[in-house]
Amino acid sequence: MDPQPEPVYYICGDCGMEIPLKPNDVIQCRECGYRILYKKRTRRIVQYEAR
Amino acid sequence: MAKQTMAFSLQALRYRADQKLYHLQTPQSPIVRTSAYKKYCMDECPTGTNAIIGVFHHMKSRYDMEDAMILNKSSVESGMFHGQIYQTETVDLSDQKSRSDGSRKYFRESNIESYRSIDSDGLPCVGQFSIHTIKPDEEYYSIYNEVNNEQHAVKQKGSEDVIVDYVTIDGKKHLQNHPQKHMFLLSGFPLLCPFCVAGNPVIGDKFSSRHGQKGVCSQLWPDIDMPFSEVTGMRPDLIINPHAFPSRMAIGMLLESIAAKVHSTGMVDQITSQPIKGRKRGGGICFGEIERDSLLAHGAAYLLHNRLHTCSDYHIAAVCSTCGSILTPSVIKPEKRVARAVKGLPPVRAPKVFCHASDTNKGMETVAMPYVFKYLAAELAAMSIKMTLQLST
Repeated sequence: MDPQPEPVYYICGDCGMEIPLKPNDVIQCRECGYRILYKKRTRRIVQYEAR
Repeated sequence: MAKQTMAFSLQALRYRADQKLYHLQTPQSPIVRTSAYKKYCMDECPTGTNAIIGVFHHMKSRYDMEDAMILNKSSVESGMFHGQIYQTETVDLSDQKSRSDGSRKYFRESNIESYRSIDSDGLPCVGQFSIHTIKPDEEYYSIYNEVNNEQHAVKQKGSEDVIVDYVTIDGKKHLQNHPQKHMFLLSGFPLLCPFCVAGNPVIGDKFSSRHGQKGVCSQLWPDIDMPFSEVTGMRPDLIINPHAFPSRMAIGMLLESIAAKVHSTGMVDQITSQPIKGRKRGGGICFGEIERDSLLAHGAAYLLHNRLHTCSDYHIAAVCSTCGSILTPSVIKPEKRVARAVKGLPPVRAPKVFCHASDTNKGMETVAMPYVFKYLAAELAAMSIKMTLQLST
């Protein structure tokens, strides 16, 4: 079995809570039960092309 | 033209899921506006940008044929008329399930191969751009099938580089057992980057004024080869051919062009503050007596007033209605901000005018006049001649 992937954080569309989700988790806010979540902006380095 | 234009058409872009949406990056409010513009709150959703327009034949390039226009390349490169195209991609995993064998699917990162644009949850990274933009035919999300243990990554179908603007995941209630309807919003051009070379506008794009004077961009001309104003160094953003005007008779365009030209510029005389003469000293072309008579004969009084007063030595002077002098009223210097703050007074107030002859600050009126008139009063005072103004409304 492959190692557990790191949870990715999402923001609830209703209450704004941060919710960590793993693949195959139920898509629902743990605070308010809302089912539409937004993915957070990437923390990866964004490199500009300066020329 | 407003309904066709690439405008700033909505405020709630963040929460939209349009199939295709054009969005102007740098909208501007027009300098000149009609009463309807305010009535319909057009500033909430502006439809265009202001541009410096040159109206002449561009002999050097000959690319300004009728209804074609030359754009300043540097203006375009610094972001003029830039915009984004937003497209929404929806992936419904419950749909994909019903087509096949009832297998369960969800988004997961591939454990065999790693893709540049796929995050650890199998979805694309939000907001990566510039050299990280998703190229055509590049994998940007991957689906895992639980039953037959299959993994496949999906490629970007479009022909342009895209950025993922946002990702929404939606676990609808009736899909509870087979959840995950995911949505991506992709913006078409990597235009957030100011160094971007491959961005619109491009040759062939249509541009229009608010009066329907439309044309097609025929050439992007370098800024250094553009004509410029000797005094201000201003270069046009856009060149149109003068043939576009006479037969169309778009008076609104002429009116807007004149009205948006807020003030005159150039060298002025130190004493009279009127424009100086002589081309080699930076002066303008003389609007003389014959020209004045010509405008009078045509009855164009407003234009005459604009040329000889507004664009010349327009001046607003304070006149004392008690003694009728324009020389004695003077502006009292307001106290320094620190001194006012100590006394607990509000920081800014309109400067007060005080008449030294009448010894009062009441009855001061502001009157528009040519600046030389004030100079004349000063010259007469030097010869002991008093000039008195009688004010009436």
